Amino acid sequence: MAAQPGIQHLKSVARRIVSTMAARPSVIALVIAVIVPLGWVAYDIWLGPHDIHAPAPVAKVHERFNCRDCHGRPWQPVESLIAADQNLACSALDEACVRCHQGLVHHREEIRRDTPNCVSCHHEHQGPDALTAVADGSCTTCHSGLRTAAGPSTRYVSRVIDFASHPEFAVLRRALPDGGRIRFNHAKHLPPAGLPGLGGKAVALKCASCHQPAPDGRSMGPISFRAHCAGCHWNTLSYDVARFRDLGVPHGVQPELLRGLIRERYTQFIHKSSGELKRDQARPRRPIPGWADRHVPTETEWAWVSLQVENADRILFQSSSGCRYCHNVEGSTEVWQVSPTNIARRWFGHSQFSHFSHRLSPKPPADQELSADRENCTACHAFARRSTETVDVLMPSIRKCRECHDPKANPTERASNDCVTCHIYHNEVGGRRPLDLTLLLNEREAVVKHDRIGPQLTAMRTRANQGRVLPTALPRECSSIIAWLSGAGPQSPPLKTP
Amino acid sequence: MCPILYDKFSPIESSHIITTRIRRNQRGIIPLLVLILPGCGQNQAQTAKPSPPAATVTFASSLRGSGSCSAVACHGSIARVARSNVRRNEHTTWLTQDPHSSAYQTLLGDRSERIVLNLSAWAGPVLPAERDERCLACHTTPRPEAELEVTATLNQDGVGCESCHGGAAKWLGPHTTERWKGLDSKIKEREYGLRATKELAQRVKVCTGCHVGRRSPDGLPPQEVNHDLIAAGHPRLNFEFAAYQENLPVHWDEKERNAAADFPALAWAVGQLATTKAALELLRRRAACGTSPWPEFSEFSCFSCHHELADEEWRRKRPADDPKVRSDVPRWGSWYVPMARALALADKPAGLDPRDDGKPFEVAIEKLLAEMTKPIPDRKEIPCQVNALLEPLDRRLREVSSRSFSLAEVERLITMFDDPKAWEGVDCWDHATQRYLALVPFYQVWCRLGADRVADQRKLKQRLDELLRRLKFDEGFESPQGFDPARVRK
Repeated sequence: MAAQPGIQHLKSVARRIVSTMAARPSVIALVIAVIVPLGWVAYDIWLGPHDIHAPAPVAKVHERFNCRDCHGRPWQPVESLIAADQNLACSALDEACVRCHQGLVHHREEIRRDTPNCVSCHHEHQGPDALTAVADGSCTTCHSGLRTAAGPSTRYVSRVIDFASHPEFAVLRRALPDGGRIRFNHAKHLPPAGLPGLGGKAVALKCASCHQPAPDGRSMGPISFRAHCAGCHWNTLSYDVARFRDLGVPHGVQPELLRGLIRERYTQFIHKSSGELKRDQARPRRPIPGWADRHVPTETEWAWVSLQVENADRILFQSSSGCRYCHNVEGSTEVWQVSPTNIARRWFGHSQFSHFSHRLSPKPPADQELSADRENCTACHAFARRSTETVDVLMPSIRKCRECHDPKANPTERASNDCVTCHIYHNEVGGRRPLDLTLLLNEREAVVKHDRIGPQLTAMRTRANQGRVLPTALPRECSSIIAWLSGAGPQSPPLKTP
Repeated sequence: MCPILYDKFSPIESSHIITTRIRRNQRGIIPLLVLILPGCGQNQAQTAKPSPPAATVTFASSLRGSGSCSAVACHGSIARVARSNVRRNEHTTWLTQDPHSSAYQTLLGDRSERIVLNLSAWAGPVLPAERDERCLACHTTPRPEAELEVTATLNQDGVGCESCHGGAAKWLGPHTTERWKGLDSKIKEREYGLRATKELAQRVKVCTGCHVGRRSPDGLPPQEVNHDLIAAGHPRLNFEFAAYQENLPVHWDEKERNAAADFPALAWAVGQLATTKAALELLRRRAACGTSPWPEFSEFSCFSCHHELADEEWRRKRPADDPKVRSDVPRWGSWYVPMARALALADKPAGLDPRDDGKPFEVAIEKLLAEMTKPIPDRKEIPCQVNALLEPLDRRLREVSSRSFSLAEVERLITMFDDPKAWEGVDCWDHATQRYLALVPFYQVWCRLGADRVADQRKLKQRLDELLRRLKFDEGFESPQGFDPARVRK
């Protein structure tokens, strides 16, 4: 009851003010009532701090931006509220985002009209981490009944509403072959007893002997002959061990060029040791009546060189222990062409998977320790050790993912399984992602490598690898040939005395 | 019919050369077919079969390709590796020095093209040599026709590792393990398919598949060089194991029994008997196969038909060792039989069955020769006769394989093989060449064992050099034109 007199008093004061104002409208009061707020708004727009308008802090990366950097015109947020087409008018226009981020097409078959704006999925002013936390609903809006520009989707599964209804990975679902055009037998390289090593001791190869993570830690780095194959198969580049014992041909060069190189070498060789002409006409060890001389007599240097080049051609480009040991060589004796290897650079192009993040996965049995040193690639790539053909796809099934990212399990007991755990809406286009700096750096390095310091860089790397990978003087020789082939080195390759 | 067969020119070219020669040379060198037997078997070249359609089923080939052996630490080392049980550069030796590795490339050469051209002249269109299964049967790793298409990449390797060592599907993995060393070679062959090439008789059998010919029941295409092919320009297969092996750039070390000083003599003896066996087996199959030409002329001495028309006195005589037939009758088995026969009669190793003094072999071979000398041998009779001959031959082969040659034995055999009387029986180039090729390994063993007979050895060396000179073909010919047995007699 004590509060009653106080309220009564306030009411009476209010009544008095209102009646006073209504009775005597004051110009000054009016000016103050209109000008002050407007002035304040104007000040706020041009000069003042805008925090007051922000419903919540922006993401850290955006906190230095002005409202206008994203919202464009001052009244755009208001306009967007009353606009007829919500897609065309939203609080922040896509143009603002693509000034910094590359706005990539989600899919070439998408329906442009239905393509959401940036802000439809990326909600700003929701706190520092919310920008990339895209809810599943953003994806399933379309993917729960997928239509493409050409009508209902036939190529893709049209109804995906959560991880439980996610289809098997396309390459396995459609039983597609690995499109690599290289001969490789995983099983032969990974026998349990190991492979014969150079010193006579068995060498046990591991997956990581060849598959090393790329610098970004996500996918695996490319396989290279020099780093991964040459240790055991560098002899696939040699063609005349009697005369050019350690001097093979450089890897990665088409036969046409190599023929020129080989001819040059033999030409130089026969100039220096003309005795070879006679040596090739020697009789067989045990003459047999009726046998023609075993060796075709070569009287001229030209004929001798041509004969040797023909033989090198057979060994390098025709036999199964030259280029064909791994590569597909097309054409005929006139023109051989080594086909591109077409090794998949990345599998599951619609997803992002980080090998680094999974380095402790899958969880080992209870009696084993959890350790990052334990290489356990086959826990997911189970078929890898048994695969004998290049066409074998060694990627794991989605069932393997569900063992940890289990859609049926309690959210606190499983790894997350919302769409953005694996997928990135802005697919890689032309090997590039919106903010993948690592890839950009690699690209830049590749350009520099080819344009400016290619041969030197190669030689440098070769020398660095010399002790570890190749047992002989091959790399040094090779690098000078590469230099020669690319026109940076001397006119003729250095010849090793046979 | 084609004219000169052993001329280095193709029939088409040589007919032109013949006419020029007739004008130039009054003696009139004309190729003559002594026997023109109507109905003696149509030597129709097999028409080329169309290539099989691409295989719709995956063929589980037992072959893995020579490349599978070529890793540096396996058999592809560029140099021999010390302190290793094998050389480790076997593949490199084969690839860079062994003519077997370029067997397929031979099919792409000019001569092959000419052979195909000549074949097509009387047999209609034929496939290019590099696609004709008759050629691929020996110029690549032999494999069933159905596998040719799916294993086409093997072609480029020519006669590769698996041609001799057997398909590697079963042994490629196990043979690098420790356990493998302890396995018996017979088990390796039976269970894994790795051929036991250390044993000489087995080794010869591997070679004769292509170098003599084989019609194998195991699904492999027929491997043979018949008269059609020779007529078209393919060289005749004059295979003598010991000589061929010595000319091969070996990629292995002979071990145990084969490392003994008498190895050349052993290789020759085993080679002779095993080669003859292969030739007899081929004859048996040809006789049993109703569609193959009969008799197969390539088994006869070429030069008893193809020789100059001029009257040569020696052809009318009967050879001393076989007075039943005249020298101008086409001689069957002139390459394979004479020295195998001489060996069976001359060689009486210590452990020999006392009842077998070479007679059963001699009786059986005489019977076969008598049949094969008829203008048209009875092809129904031949399989029985060959079987009767194979039994003593096999026994002798087993005995010879396990024997060794002492100095006294070697000297005795040299004396027998180089006996003037034995040379009296020589009536054709084939026989003379085989006799020369027999003397060489025994000479080699003699030099190793009898260090105190240098003077005699030198004499034999001179004789061998002289023989070689006289047996050589004249420049520009692939036949012993103008050969006279008197020239090689002692």
